[in-house]
Amino acid sequence: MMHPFTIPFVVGFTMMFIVLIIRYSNWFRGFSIENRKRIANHMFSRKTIQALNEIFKESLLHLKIYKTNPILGYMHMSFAFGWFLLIVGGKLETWYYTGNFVNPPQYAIFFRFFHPVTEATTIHRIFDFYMEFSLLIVLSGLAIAMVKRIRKRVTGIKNTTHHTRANRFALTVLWFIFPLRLLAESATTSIHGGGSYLTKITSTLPFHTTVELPLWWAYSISLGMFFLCLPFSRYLHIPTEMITILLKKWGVKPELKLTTNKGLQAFEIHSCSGCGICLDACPAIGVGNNKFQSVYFINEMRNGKDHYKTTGLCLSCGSCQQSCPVGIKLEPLRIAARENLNSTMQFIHTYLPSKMILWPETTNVILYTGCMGRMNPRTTKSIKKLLAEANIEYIHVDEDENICCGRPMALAGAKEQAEIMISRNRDIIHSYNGKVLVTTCPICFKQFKNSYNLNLPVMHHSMYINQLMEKGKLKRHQSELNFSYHDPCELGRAFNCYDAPREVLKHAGNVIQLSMEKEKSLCCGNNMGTILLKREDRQQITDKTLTVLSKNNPDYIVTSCPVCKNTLSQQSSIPVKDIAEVLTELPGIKQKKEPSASPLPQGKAD
Amino acid sequence: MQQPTVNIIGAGPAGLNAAISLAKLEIKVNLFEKQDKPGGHLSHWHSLFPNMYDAKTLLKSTINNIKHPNIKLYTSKNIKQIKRQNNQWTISSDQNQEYTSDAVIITSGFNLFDATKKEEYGYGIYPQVITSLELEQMFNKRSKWPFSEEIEAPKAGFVHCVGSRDTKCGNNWCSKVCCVKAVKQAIEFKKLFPKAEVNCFYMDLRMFGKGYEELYMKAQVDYNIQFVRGRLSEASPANGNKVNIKAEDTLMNRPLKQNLDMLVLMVGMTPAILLNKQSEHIDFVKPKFQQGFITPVDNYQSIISQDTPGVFAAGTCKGPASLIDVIQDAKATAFEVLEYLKKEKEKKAEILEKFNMICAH
Ligand code: SF4
Ligand code: SF4
Ligand code: SF4
Repeated sequence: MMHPFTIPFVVGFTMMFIVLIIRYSNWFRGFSIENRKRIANHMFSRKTIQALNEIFKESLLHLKIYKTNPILGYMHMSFAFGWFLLIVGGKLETWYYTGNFVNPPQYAIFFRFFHPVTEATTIHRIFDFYMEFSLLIVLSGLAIAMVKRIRKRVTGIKNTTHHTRANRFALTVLWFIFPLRLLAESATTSIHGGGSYLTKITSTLPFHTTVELPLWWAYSISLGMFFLCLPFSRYLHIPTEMITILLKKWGVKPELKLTTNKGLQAFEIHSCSGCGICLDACPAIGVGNNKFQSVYFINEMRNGKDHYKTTGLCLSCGSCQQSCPVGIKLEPLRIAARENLNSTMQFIHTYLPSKMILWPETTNVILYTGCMGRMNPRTTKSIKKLLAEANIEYIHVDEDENICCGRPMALAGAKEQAEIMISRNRDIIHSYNGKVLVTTCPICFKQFKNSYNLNLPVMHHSMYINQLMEKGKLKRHQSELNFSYHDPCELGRAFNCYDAPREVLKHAGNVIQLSMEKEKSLCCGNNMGTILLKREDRQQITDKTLTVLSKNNPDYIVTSCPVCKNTLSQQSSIPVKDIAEVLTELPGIKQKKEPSASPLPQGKAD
Repeated sequence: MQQPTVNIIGAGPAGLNAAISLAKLEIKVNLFEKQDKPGGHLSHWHSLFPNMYDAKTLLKSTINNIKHPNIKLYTSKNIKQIKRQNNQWTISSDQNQEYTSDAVIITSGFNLFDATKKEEYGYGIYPQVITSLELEQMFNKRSKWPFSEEIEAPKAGFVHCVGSRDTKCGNNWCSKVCCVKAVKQAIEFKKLFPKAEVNCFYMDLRMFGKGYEELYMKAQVDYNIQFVRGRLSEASPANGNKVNIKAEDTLMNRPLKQNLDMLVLMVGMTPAILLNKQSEHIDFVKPKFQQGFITPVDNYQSIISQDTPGVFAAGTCKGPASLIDVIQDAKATAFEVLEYLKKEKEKKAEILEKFNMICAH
């Protein structure tokens, strides 16, 4: 069962294992004590089964890619799952044939060479059929991959990644493996007989007896080379992705500082398959000459290159994270990367106002409109009108003085500065006795939710208005007006808040369906996330977004973020309104006249 | 030979002056105006910088001058398209009426920037916030002051560059006249309310024309008007029917807050129409974001392009300009049109001569 031609494979395979173990143990060494504890606690729990399930679905079947792009999904699936079927089949076949469970891998891989003709039992025929069927699956995927490289449009991908030399080499070798396997097996079949339907056909080619062994050599060499390259190429993602899934299921958290060659972040970075789905998802693609999308960012981190531009240009719109089939947490990675870059920045915040409150006032709603609210007084006026109309008691905490919620700072990687603002604001908010904090800004909302640890619930005004409407405290007339709703990145993708604003709008008119909305909604182009993207480029993004929003000529474009509103309205020829303004300003949707309810104790806002 | 005709689109200062010049040169003019009266923006102004010349007097004398046998005025005509036919141009209104002429001058002027687009300044939200145009109306006593008559010493602020020099709203240009106009308006306001406190918030002060710098000096010395370098960041409501403004005094390097009775936004000039040039016709469409003014072939001629001989542009449709510059430009363009018509006539005569020669043989 050993033959010299198997040596290249054996060497390549062994080397891969050694390198992988060295690399992985290095990354493992970067785990904090807490993370190690997490692994120990969860290793023998249901989490592992869940992880295996996910590995099967995502690493082998690639269901997420399939959902975004069926052809591309099939391509990935055929490679991974087809190969997996071959490995499992080989294992079973050798087990059945020899009666031993453990056999050297090369025995299974080159089985046909050692045993061209097995006894013609049904089981063997089934095995032969199964193995050739699996090979066919892989080869069909290969065919798509070749077409994709030549004509990327066929697979529906608009943008494809450009590979480094190591990757290109590995890719070429990979392409040779399976056709060589088919040729080698066909040669053996043509000389010795046996085989199933596939090789029955291909073995009719005029194979000379002298080509059989060289073909097996070639197959073994291509395999060996591929495995040798794997840990140094993007194909490292194949084993890494599986481990990352396990680690995440076990609750491992990223280390606080970005480390590209340690800890969970190293595993995440190396899990990227370079599929390029994030390219098509990015609103900035095709705008200016900006190559900062996640796949480039990850490549730079992998190769230890400077990633100042790729981190600074990105808008933090979250679209790529949403679409990444591997589920890499791209936004935290980017922010962590910015922290590394900005550690030298200096800010002074001594001017921040503080408030001294002796008797905490009790109220229903604490209203916070944020810095961006100051740019949108119309929105602020409208939400106040609505609260008054619904008879809700409120206090507008940042009416006169306002301290930024800190998210722009955090996004810029200035974590400590953000902390100063957070603690100042938290004190102010806690100094009131409020039942709920309502903010008109999704950026503030995200920051309150994720970084504030407040002692009261937080709601975005679209959610709160929706609640008031559901409870019948606000009523509107459904008009003939048509609205296009723009999902703000920080509310939609960040919190899956797609329905509340649409429900509110449906009370006032019709909501038009858009070609890109909800998860797929485009960024307004001015997301606070970017620190380097040029204004012209941002304006071009805004233009693209407006094209989607203006389709079917809506009467109004509606959003629920002050930044989106401000940005879109500069360039739009259709009026842009905040959701609160729609309810207070538009004609024909005025509240239905009803005998006014007696001004009983104020409504609860829970 | 038949008397040549010129169609002029827009009866503001540019259109009126071009029409008068051409009429005097024995050329027939059809003058088209979208509104029901000629005069354009001039009819809203109260007095004109730098000499405080009365706007109504100027308007009246100009309109008197167009009562000329060679000029025919068409009001309430919205022109949508110009078509080329042989060597002539036919313009059509949105009621599909057509008028043919030998040359066309576009004098469609400008629109004032829509101040609601800068929501942070609170225009349309707080009654104390008005535009420079609305202030002229108040000077003209066509509308009321945004503060109570009882206030003897109102506090007023003027914000320069609203919708100009602002890449965010896509208007990168300087509107040229608003600086000196703010100075003029501030003085006029002080004349009416001598105890008023007036601040102008500017980025640069562009006193380019004759007499402007002197007016600016006068504003500071004689009228005690304060000029603060810094852009306003926001306006918000304040107690007692006032508006609170926040700005940064960039010369003193410190933030600044004030409660005002009136905040005047010096709204800039934006293009009123966009020319959509097709092979044989030009459509007049609404300009979109960042789509600017009409650009003539070069800065020294008024012909709009080499492919459309006979179509000229004059006045602020080519970009911000002062009234003085507009009038001079209109007169110069009229002369350019005359030259063009002469050349065309010569060409025709030549062709006719050749034709006659061929026939004679
Ligand atoms: S980051 Fe995700 S979507 Fe982008 S190339 Fe990598 S795996 Fe694909
Ligand atoms: S977060 Fe948005 S802008 Fe940034 S790379 Fe991803 S898709 Fe592009
Ligand atoms: S003239 Fe003055 S106020 Fe007007 S845009 Fe230019 S700099 Fe600004």
